[in-house]
Amino acid sequence: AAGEELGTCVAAQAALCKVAAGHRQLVLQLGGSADGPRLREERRGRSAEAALLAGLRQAASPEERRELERLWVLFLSALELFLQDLRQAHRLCRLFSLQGGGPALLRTGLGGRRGGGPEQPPAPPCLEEEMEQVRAVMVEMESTANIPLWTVEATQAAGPGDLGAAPTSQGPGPRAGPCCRVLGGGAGKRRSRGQVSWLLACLAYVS
Amino acid sequence: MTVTRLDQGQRYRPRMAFLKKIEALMVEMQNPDTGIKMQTQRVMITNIPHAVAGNDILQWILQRLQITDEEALHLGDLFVKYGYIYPLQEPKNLTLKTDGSLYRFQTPYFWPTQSWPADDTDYAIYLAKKNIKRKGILEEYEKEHYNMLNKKINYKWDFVIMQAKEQYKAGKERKKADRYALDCQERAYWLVNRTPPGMLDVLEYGLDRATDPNENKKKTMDVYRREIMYYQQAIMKSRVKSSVSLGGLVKYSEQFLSNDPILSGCLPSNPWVTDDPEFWDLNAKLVDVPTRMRVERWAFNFSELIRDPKGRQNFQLFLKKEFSGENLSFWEACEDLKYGDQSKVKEKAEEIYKLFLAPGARRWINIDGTTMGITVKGLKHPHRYVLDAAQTHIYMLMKKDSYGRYLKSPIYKEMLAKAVVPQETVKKSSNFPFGRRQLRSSPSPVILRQQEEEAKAKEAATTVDITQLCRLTSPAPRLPVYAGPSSLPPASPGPTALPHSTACPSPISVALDSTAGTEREQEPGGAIPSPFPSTAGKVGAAAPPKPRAAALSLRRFLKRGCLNSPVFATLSLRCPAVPHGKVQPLGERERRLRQDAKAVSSFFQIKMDIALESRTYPVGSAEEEHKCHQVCKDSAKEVICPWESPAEEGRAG
Repeated sequence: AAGEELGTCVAAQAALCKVAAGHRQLVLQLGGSADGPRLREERRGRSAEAALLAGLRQAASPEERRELERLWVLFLSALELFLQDLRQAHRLCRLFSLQGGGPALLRTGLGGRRGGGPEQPPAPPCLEEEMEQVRAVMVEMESTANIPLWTVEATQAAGPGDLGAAPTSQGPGPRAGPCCRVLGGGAGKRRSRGQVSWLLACLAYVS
Repeated sequence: MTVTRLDQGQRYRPRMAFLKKIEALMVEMQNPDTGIKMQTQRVMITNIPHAVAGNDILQWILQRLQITDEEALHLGDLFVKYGYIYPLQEPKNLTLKTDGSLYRFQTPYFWPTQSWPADDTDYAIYLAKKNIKRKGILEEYEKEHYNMLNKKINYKWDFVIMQAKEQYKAGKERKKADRYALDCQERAYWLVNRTPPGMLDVLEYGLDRATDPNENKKKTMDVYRREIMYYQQAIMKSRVKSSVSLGGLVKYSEQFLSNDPILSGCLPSNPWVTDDPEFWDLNAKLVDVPTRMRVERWAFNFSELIRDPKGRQNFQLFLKKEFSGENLSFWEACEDLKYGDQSKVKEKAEEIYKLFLAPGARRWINIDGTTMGITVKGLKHPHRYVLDAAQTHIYMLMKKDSYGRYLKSPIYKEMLAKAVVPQETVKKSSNFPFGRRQLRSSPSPVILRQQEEEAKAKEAATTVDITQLCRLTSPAPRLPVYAGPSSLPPASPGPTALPHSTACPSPISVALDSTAGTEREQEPGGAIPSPFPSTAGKVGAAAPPKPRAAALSLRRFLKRGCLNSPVFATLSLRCPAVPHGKVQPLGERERRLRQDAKAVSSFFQIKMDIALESRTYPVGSAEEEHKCHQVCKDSAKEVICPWESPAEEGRAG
């Protein structure tokens, strides 16, 4: 059961990563030639999804401490990146408002969107609320769990074909090694909005 | 998560007003009628729209802004350099070419913002993505960055790799033309924000600022009030004519030229050149025999003397002779308070007060009443600079008064004569560069500091300034007036008692007996004939055995220093056994005494106005009697800091 919990934590982390990446690509196009109401709808959907992933939490059993700490840090990093993109989106949506006399969109060379967003967005909260929500989650995470950063080590080497520098040491436990690669397959299925146990679990354990 | 740097108040990027202006122009360029005409870029088999020619950009700027060719070219070039437009055929060459070279507009996401800089994490993800796409494609400087980031944000490196993979996958889902454009955009962004070596980093702006330029401060009354205060203070700032300040600089340079090791060489030799650390040894902080140059430097001005530890040591010797050693000690204590461990500020301030400032303190310094008042008030909430006023006062006192005499004193002259002039040594021939050199390491700073503290403690313990005894009545603050005990032969205290103290052992006699042998230094040569010779005469009867408490009480009494002989004579000491509890109201006689005392102090023009009013200030002997009893009861009572027990002691000084 404990292993399962950990696995779901890992999966949630990967899911957030994926959603954040997709969201970022949409934000990238705001203000450019691919911008439009549909793009913005889709972006809203993605960000809502990510916010949801961030908001769910469940208790997990206190095991595999180092792994949980590592995941906690990674999750926080993902949230941070997501918040940054939200800020950008906020700024760009304000700058290039689609209604009325907003400035002309930049002709950036990008064409129309590929058809159909993958998810149905729920009732989308407005951008400021989203940012506040994510910020609040981050603050809560940072303030309640006291995890010093230097205890977390990368399990991956510097990258595929590491660049001459000494790779970082291998991860803490046997489970940690292939964890990232396993995620690719599992993440898609796990991304249901149901019971996704989440890394705030760490807090219950760590605090 | 990102580790945020220590916030020292400087975290805002400066206002970059030009950004908004460029953005406005960029948007105008998009206008289908008045904007720039677009072309299609052909990359192999793909067609990517929205390319513009360099020349078209230039022409548009010229026409829109009505400026000269040169300016327009420069402006267009800046657009490219700041990353608003990026070149398509030579991506790394961020200049505007006024021919048919193609450019494209950067997406607003990648526009430079004033609010935040390009993020390290983002850069790491970008490099990782690039690496995933094709191994070994990173340039040298990119590889360096990559490795450095790997170390710097190692804790989130897994996230970086994960995110890079996800972004790469997300990109793959797009159609080819879009993917190409997106890649170009991102590459252009990072060329601007992480410039390759050799390229000018246009976004560099120096240090971060302390105020947020974007902050929209509502103009409330408070804001205006603060602005007014700020400008008033700015007006009050003293200004110096540049001719005066330059003259000062010239004078300084001329004076210090001979001391400059680079300009005038240093004896025996420059350690960096000859590998001979003798120069440093000879100029160690508290070396026994300093160099001549160093001692001569003390004569340049007071700050030179006081900033050199050896100079301070020598000066302290001189001050001790003049009985004002407490001034320098106080100054050093204040420095320690300012620059030392701030967690102990409260304790340190209290210590300093008890030792130097409290009425009757062991090493009381002479500062005027106003300063004392300010200081004591400030000590209620102690902080680093709470003793600044007093410290400045003492500094100026030393500078204006003692320093001059010091330079003429035998102590300084002796030091000057003793000072050594090292011989210049020839540079050791480095024929054998790989030879084993005798490199001895200098003493560890920890040990040095320990030694210093030991020396300080030793000095503090052995120093008791006798002048502290009779502050109030001394006409010249530094000379010991109370010649009573010092004129007594230390060996035999002699029977000393007041004429009419038979019932109780005279505390005075008691004290004189016991204190003759206590820690008071018998300062030779400093005593002047006591203005109250009758005092010495009066105290001279046989001394009955004395209880310790009484002795202490008298010592306290004497320290307070009221040795008015008439007061003395009329003193009627009560037995120590008399219980006290309340402060007795002033009786007739006491009132008279009090007035006498007032007369005395005003005669000597001692500015202790505040003190006189306060009951704790032992001007009148009556209070002193009470003090005696209080002390008798609780002989271990320390000097009380006024802010601690205001009810009991009343407001001191």
